[in-house]
Amino acid sequence: MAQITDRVHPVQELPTDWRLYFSFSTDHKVIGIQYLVTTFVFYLIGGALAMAIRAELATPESDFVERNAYNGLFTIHATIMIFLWIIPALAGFGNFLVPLMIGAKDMAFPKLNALSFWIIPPAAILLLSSFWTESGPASAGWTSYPPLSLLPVQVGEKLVANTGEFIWILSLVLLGTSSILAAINFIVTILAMRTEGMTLFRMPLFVWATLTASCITALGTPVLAGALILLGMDLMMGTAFFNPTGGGDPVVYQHMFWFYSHPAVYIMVLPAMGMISEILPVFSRKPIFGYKAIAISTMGIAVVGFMVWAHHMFTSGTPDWLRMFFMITSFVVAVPTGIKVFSWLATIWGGKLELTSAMLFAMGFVSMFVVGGLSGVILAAVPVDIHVHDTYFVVAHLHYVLFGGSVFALYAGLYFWFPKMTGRLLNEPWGKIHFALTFIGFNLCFLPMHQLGLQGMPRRVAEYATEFQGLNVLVSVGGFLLGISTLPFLFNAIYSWIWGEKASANPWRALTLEWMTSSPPPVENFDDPLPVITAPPYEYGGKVHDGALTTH
Amino acid sequence: MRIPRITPNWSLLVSAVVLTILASLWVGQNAGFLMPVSASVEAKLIDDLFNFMLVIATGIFIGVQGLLLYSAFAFRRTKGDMTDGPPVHDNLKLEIFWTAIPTVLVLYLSVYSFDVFQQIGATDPMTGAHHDTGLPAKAIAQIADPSAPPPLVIQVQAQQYAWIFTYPEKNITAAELHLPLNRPVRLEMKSEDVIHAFWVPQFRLKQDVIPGRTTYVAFTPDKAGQYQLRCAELCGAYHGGMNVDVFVEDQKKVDEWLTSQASLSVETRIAQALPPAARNLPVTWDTPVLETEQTRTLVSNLRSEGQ
Repeated sequence: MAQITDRVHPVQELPTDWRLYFSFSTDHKVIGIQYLVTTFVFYLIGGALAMAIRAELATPESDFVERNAYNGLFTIHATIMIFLWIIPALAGFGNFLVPLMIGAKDMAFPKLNALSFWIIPPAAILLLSSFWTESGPASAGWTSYPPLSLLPVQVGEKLVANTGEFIWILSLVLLGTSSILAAINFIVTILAMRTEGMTLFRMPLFVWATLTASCITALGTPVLAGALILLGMDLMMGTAFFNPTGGGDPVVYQHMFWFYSHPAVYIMVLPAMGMISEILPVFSRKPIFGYKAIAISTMGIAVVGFMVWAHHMFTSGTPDWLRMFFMITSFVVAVPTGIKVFSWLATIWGGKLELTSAMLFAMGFVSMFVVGGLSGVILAAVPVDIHVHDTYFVVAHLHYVLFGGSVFALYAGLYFWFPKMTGRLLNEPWGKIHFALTFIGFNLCFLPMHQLGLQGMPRRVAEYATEFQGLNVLVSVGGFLLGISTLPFLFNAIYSWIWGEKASANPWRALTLEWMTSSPPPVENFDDPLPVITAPPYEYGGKVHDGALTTH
Repeated sequence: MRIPRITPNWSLLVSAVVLTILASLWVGQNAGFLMPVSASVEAKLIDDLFNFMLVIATGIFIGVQGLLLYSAFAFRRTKGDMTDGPPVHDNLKLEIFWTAIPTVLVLYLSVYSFDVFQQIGATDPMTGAHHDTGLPAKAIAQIADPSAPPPLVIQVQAQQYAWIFTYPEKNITAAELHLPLNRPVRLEMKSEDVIHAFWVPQFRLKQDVIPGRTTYVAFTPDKAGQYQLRCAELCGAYHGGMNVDVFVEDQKKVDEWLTSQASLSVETRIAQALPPAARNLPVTWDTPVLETEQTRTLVSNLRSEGQ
C-alpha cells in the first residue's frame, strides 16, 4: 500500500490553459471534467433526438421522419443517454471526487484512467457516424433483440446490409471496455488508497455508491460484451447463437442482455443516490440520517439487483415458476430503496434548509425518484406487467427513474461541485429558473405517459390510434419545454466558468474532505502531508466546525 | 398502562395519516379512467390488483411529497443563521418501522400477485406440447370443472406486419380475429421472422410471439365489442401499424362470419392482413409457418404479391 500512496504523480509537460482539457492528462480532476463536458455534449445530442421523436409523435400518423429513421432515432437516443451521458457522467463525478473524498493524490492507475476517458470520444463518433451509412443507424431499439437486429434493413425498394447495427455493437463494446477499466480503477483506488483514518464506515456515501456501482460494472458489463460479440457474429459471420433459422434461441440473448442491463440501472442510480446523500445534509445542516443503513442498503440493492433481470422478460415465454421468482425478488428491491428515501426525508426533517439550486435538484430527485420507484413496484407484479409491458407506462417509469432520478442528481451535483471544479460559483437565480423549467417540463412530458400506456399505446411506435393524440400533444409540449430548460443551464455554466463569482475553498460550509482543499484543488490535491481523518463525514450540528475533522 | 396524552403534534400527525388514507382510497375509487374497457374475465382480476397497488402507491406518494413540501416551507433557514440543525444521526425504532412496513407490504403483494397469476393462468401452456412448468396451478386447472366448454383453439401466425388466424375446427384462415362471447379461447402463436407480441389492451394480456417456438395465451372474452390487437414488441419499420381488429360477439355471429369467409378465396381474405403502407414490401421470411395447405398458399401469395 505504501508504494501506491507514495506514488509521485507522473510529470507531464502539459498546457496550462484550456488546451489542457484536450490533452492526455493523467490528473483525475482534469479527466473528471473531460468526462463531464464531453458527456454533456452527448446529452444535448441525445436530447435533440428526443425532440425529433416528440415531433413525430405530436400527430398520430407517421409524417415527420421516415419509419425506419424513426426507429433509429429512439434507438440512438436511448443508447446515447445511457452509454454516453448518464454512465460516463457519473464516472466523471467519480473521477473528480473519489480521490479528493478519500484523501488520495490521484486514482490508482492514472494512465488507465486517461485511457478510459479517451476511448469514449472515438466510440461516440463511431456511433454517430452510423447516421451516414446506407442502412442508417441501428434501429432495433437499444435492447437490440434478435432476430430483428440481425435482419437487413429496408431502404427504399431494396434491402441493405445492417451496417448501423454492426457499428452500434462495435461502439458499445468499446464503451463497455471503457466502463470496465474505470470500474477496476475505482475499486482499487477506494480499497487501497484511503488516507489515514478514512475507515470504510467513514467514507462519504458517494464513495460507497461508486464502489458498489463499480462492482456491478465489473461483474455485469463483461456479460453484455459477450452477448454483443455473439450478436455481432450472428450478424456478420452467419453464426446462429440467437438466430432461430439456424437453431439459435433469441431468448438467450434477452437473458444475457438483461443480466447486465438491469444492474446497469443501479450503475446509473446508485452513484446518483450517493450524490444526493452528500448534498442533502450540507443544505439541511444536519448529519445524514442512518449512515450505515444507507451504505448497507446500497450494497443490498446491488446484490438483489443481480437477481431481478428477468422481470424485463415476463412476456418472453419465461416459465411460470421463474416469473414468480423474479417477481418476488423485484418486489424486494423496494425495501432497501425505501430505506434510502425515508432516510433522506429524515435528514431534511427539522433541519435548517437552504434551498440552493443544488438542494432544489436534490429534493426534486427524491420527489421524482419515488414516483419511478412506485411505478416500478406496480411493474414488478407479473399480472399487471403482462398488461403494461412494452407500453408507454414503461417509458414513463424508466424516465422517472433515469431522468427524474439520475439526471436530476447530475444537475444537483453540477451545481454543488461546480465551484470546486472551476473555482467559480454558478449563478443561483438562473439555477432556480433552470430547476423550475426542468421540473415542470419533466412532469408534463412523462406523467401523462403512464395513462397512455395503461390505455393501450405500445412503445416504439411511429404511429398510434387517434384517441391518444390529446395526451401525446401534452407530452410533446412537455418534451420541448424540457429541451428548452437546458438553455439557462448551458448559458449559466459557460458564463460562470469564465466570469462567475469566485468561490472560496468551502462555499457551502461542507465537512467532507474535498472541501478542505482549495477550489480548484492543486495537482495531487492536498498539501503534504495527506490529511488524517478523525471523525465521520457528516458531523453537522452541535459544535461549529471549520474543517476540524481533519488534522494535518 | 399509562395512556399517552394527546398533544397537538400527535393529533396533527394522526389527521394527516387519516387524510392521506382517505385520499388514496378516493383515488382508487376514481382511477377507472386510466384503463380501457375490460373485456375478459382475466382483466377484472388484473384491474383489482392494479387498483390495490395504485391505492398504496398513492398513499406513499402523498406522504413523501407532503413531507418534502412541508420541510421546504417549515424548515427554511432564516437569513444569517449560521448554526446547524440538531445532530440527529439515527433512530432505531423509526428505522425498524420503515424497514418492516415495506417488507410486510411487498410480501403481501407477492402473495396477492401470485394468487392472481394462478387464477388467470393466461400464458400457461395448459395441455401437452410444452414441458411442465412445475406450478401446482396446472394440476388444479386440469381437474377443475370438467363441464366447462373446451377452449376454442386458434392458431396465430405473426409476421412483418400482419396477424393471420387459423380456425382449425373449420379449416379457415383469415386476417381478422372473431371470438365467441364467454367461451374460453386458447391461442397457439408462432412467428417465422422476428419477435412480435400479442396484446389486446381490453383483455389486459400480452404474450410475445417468438420465432422457433410456440407460445400460448388463454382467456375468456366476456364483453362484446370491437377491439384492436396491437403488436407490442418492436418488429421493424411498420411495427406501429401492425394492428388488427378483434371482434367479440355471440357464437352465432362468429359462425356466420366463418361461413362467409369460407366462400371467399384465401387471397381475398388475406389481402387485408397487411397494413396498406406495408403491402408492397419484399417479404423476408423463408419458410411457411403453420402446417396447413392454406397458409402455404397464403405465404406464397404474399411473396409473389410483394416482389
